Amino acid sequence: MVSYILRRILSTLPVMGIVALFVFSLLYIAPGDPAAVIAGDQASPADVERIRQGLGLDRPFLVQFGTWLWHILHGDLGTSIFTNLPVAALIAQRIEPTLSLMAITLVLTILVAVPLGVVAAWKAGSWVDRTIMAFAVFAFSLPVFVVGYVLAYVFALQFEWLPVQGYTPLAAGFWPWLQNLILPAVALGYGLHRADRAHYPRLHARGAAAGLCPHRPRQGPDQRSILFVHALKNAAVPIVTVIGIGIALLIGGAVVTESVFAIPGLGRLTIDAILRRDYPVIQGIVLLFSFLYVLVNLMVDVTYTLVDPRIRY
Amino acid sequence: MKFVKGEWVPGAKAVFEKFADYVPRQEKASWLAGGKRMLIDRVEWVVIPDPATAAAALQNGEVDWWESPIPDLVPSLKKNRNIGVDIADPLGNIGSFRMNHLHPPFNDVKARRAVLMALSQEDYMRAVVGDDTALWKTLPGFFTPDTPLYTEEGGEILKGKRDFDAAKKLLAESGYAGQPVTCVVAQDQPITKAQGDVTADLLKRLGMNVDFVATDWGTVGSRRAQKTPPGQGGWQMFHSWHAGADCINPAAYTAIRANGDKAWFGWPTSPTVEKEVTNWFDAKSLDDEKAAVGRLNRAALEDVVYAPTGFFLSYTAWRKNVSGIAKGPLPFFWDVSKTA
Repeated sequence: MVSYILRRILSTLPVMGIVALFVFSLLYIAPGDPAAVIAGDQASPADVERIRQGLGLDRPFLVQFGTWLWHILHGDLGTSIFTNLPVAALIAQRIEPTLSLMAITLVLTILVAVPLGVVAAWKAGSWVDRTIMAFAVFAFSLPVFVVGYVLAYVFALQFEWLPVQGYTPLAAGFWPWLQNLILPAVALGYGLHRADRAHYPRLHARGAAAGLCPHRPRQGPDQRSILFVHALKNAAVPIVTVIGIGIALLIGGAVVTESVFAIPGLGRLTIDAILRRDYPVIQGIVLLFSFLYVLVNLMVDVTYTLVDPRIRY
Repeated sequence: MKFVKGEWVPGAKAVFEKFADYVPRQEKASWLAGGKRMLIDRVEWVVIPDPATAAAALQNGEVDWWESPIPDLVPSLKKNRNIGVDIADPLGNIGSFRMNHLHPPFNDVKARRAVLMALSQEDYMRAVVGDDTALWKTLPGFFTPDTPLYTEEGGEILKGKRDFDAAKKLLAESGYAGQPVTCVVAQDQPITKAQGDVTADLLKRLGMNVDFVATDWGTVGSRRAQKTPPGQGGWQMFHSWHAGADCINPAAYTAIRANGDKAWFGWPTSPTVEKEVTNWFDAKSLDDEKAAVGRLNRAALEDVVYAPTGFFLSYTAWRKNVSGIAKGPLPFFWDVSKTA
């Protein structure tokens, strides 16, 4: 197992290298010019050109890529060309809100989606199952920002229970921290049920295989025992898979959610960096996200061995 | 105020605290001049990218002041008895689009004038700020309304009923024969997007073949600096707007200059415009200044240095427990106070 984990970690290096080259190439050929953005609307073409030269953006692609790679290999993600601050510092400043949002969303999603999936499998074919499926399809159909606006209108403006926007660090207290994250997490997690919907049929199938046939009598404690101990355990592998996919989706969803709820996380940093053509920041964030994807996949694979002893690497 | 660097989150939050050792001049503040008395201890400048969220935050009391609410949301803010709404800056803004003077068809003044003849500033202003007529007015010139040098001299081309037949005739005289006109429009800026949509319609009604490039402001920023022909990465039109404070006189008015290569994007060349800019600098009295700017306005419209699309204002909104907000081109924190 240890050698497998080490191999997997080592295999991330070429993946990261390919991602780095791909991202750098994409940004190089994409239209837009950070020099023009920094220079502002009233700048003359000569001003823009002077800034471009100062930033080294007039140098050949390979020289720019080589310099950037050299710095990365030395642990330096570079400096933001817009704020003139180290990219690592910008990411460090923004990572807590994003991880907090993802964690709360994931917890909420698991707490709601897994029991719903179990119930849907248990009551397969019944109106309960169909209602849960309808809910999942409904969630799938609504964009995050629409859910976000509705939640903000109801729970912030009408009932005045929760704040509309912003983020309070965990260091300032658990409730202030949680208060700011509830609405965004519900908005983000609501859409995530579409991913969890995928495991319902598998859960159903595994539940049936474990003896929980929808056509058999469903009364007495034995049925519950079968459902929550045996069927759920059997369904753990696809659930873990879906959670892994969910984390990947959360990273994408956080970009929209953080903008709607004005959370100063990595998602907003990404959008700002793209709009400003702040290449070092974009490259740093994409590298971080790709590393996270690889890490999550690895964790999912390792978790398989814990929930299903038959799986060995 | 002191900038609190430790709490700075670039693009999201900037914090300023009262500088206790600062001694203001014993006079009233006048924008950036005069005695700046800080009546509050701390300002948190929060960036809320989504306007609907910003409106909700103001209504919910999470923020005290929203610098520039979008016109669509102002009616709902006005209905809230805890919120005050007023014009933010009486100097407002001037909408604009620029035509590239280096390449056909707009290297011919007849083509530029044809567009100006057909242009309806009312259409542009309704698209930019809506039907609230207190927020906009037509502008047959280039200088900020209600300022000493404001003039409408030579502005007839922008007044009255739009004459599409005459405009089409003039366009044909310029030699335009249906070649694509690359109109670069930033979609992430509501003002440029709204103007771009109106321009596309205008050009089509003139019989022009519009190559509408919907993109973002970052791309417009780099593309407009290209002097190459439109088919090789260049452009023929882009949209922008200018703060009224910059358009009071020619001193800081980059967009009005017509000194060719040294001019702003579009690179207009008009010796008459440049001569009148110099005359304004040399003017000995306000009357001389007005005369020079009047002639400048006429020349800039005749040569169509750029196309003004109208004058518009914007609102600012605050919680009513905040007072002392001054109207101006910037948010000034001095003299602002807040009660619990």
